[in-house]
Amino acid sequence: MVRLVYHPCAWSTEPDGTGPGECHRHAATINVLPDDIFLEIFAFCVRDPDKHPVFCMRQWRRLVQACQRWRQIIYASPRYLDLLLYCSKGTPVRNLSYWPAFPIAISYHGPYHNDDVIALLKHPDRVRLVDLSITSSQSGRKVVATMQKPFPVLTHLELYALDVPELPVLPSGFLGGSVPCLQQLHFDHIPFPELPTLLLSARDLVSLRLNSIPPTGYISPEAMVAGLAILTRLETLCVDFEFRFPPPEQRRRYPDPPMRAALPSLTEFEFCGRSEYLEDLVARLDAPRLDDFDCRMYLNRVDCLRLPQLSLFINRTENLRFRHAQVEFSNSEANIEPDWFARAHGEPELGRPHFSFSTSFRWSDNITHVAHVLRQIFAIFSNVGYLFIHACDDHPSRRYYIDDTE
Amino acid sequence: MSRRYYIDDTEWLAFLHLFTTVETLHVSGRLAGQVALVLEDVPGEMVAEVLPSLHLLLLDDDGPVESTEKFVSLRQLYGRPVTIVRKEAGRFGAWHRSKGKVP
Repeated sequence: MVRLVYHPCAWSTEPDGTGPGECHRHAATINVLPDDIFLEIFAFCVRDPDKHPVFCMRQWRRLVQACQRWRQIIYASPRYLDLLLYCSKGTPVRNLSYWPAFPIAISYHGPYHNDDVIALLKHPDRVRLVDLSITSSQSGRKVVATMQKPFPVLTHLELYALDVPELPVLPSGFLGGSVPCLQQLHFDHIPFPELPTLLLSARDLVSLRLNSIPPTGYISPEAMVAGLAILTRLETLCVDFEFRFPPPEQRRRYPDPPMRAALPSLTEFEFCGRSEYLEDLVARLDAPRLDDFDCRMYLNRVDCLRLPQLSLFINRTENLRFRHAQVEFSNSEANIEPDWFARAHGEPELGRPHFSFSTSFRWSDNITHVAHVLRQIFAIFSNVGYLFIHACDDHPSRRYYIDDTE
Repeated sequence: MSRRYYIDDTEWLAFLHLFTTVETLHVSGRLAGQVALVLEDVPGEMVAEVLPSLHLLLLDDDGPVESTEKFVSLRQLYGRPVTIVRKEAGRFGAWHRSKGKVP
């Protein structure tokens, strides 16, 4: 048995159990190995889906420096070895002509040269991963304009636009209107009202996270369901609005369409928005395997809260049943977490199933409001045997102390 | 100096009425006194309807907690006995860990 050892300037091999000092005696013997064995060794070294792409790229770049034969073997099998050119501020790849035509991963955050990113995006046939922070409306416009064509091998797209005023709305032609290989789509503060149409081509999508959807990116629940309907592999869904109210022209309610979406693989669902939106959304969704559900709602009044569709949606799941629950009161909200006990005591399911519910309304000092909210989602609590009630230090219950002697 | 909570029993009872399957109720912090007071004031004819499956009530507060003697007696009388355990906040957690599971 041999092991591949990386020394600061080169790779070498050693029989297992020997020290680095003896490796020179065996260095020649590794060359008798056939190419396919080398390929397996290299695959073992560089292919690791759990590792960050930059780690994998460092591995193969070290290996190709060892000798010409190794370089030839590696460069001949980029797909098998899952080789990527990882381009970021820390690992800039400015001149692509110096490198084989491997797929490209683009990851830039913080201040960076926008021209570097634009140059890379001009190779849409090779771009597999895009992970970008948009830092200004000007750079955003350039990126959007460059991504107005198909990216046929794109599997991961993450766009962030924190504190960017007047960010352009992504047009319907974004990514050429088709993302056949896309597996992860994460937007943060990115307005893209035409997203549901794009999703119709995203049959491989596993994770869809829409964080802080701005008003210009509003998507109606009906349109969202239409986009989700094809995503049978979707495991994670996040719909998170940064605004409390939909724009006036979008508050109009539409007659119920027949469209429903079955999401047989969905296990994680995070929602932040108005209860009416959630009701319209979950009325048309089936997610039987859901076991991690986080709800945060914008409310004007708690006593008007009605969540009949949410209750039915929960009833249609198989895993959102709990034996332990916690209701925690703080100054601003009441958090309801049915799985508190399991997580606090390190049970093996690692926090699954999990359900969390909180609102923007200050209602935790009114137990009637708490009871009202619990009634709306009581399907979750129908089997609770252990209930933990806790008030945080900032809870106003302290105000209720009165002195009998006064 | 005696202290007493100003609370609305009806509101709390509406809340507790939801949990018909709860066998163990653990109340921590300042709400322990409120819950204790509410349960103590439950009239006899209702005592079996509030938390009907309750076996164990854990009251966990570093301040004074109201008496629950009447509630315990009535539950016994109506055939639904309850055990009350009081601990200050710090020691209660240690007791749970030593048990290793829900009591």
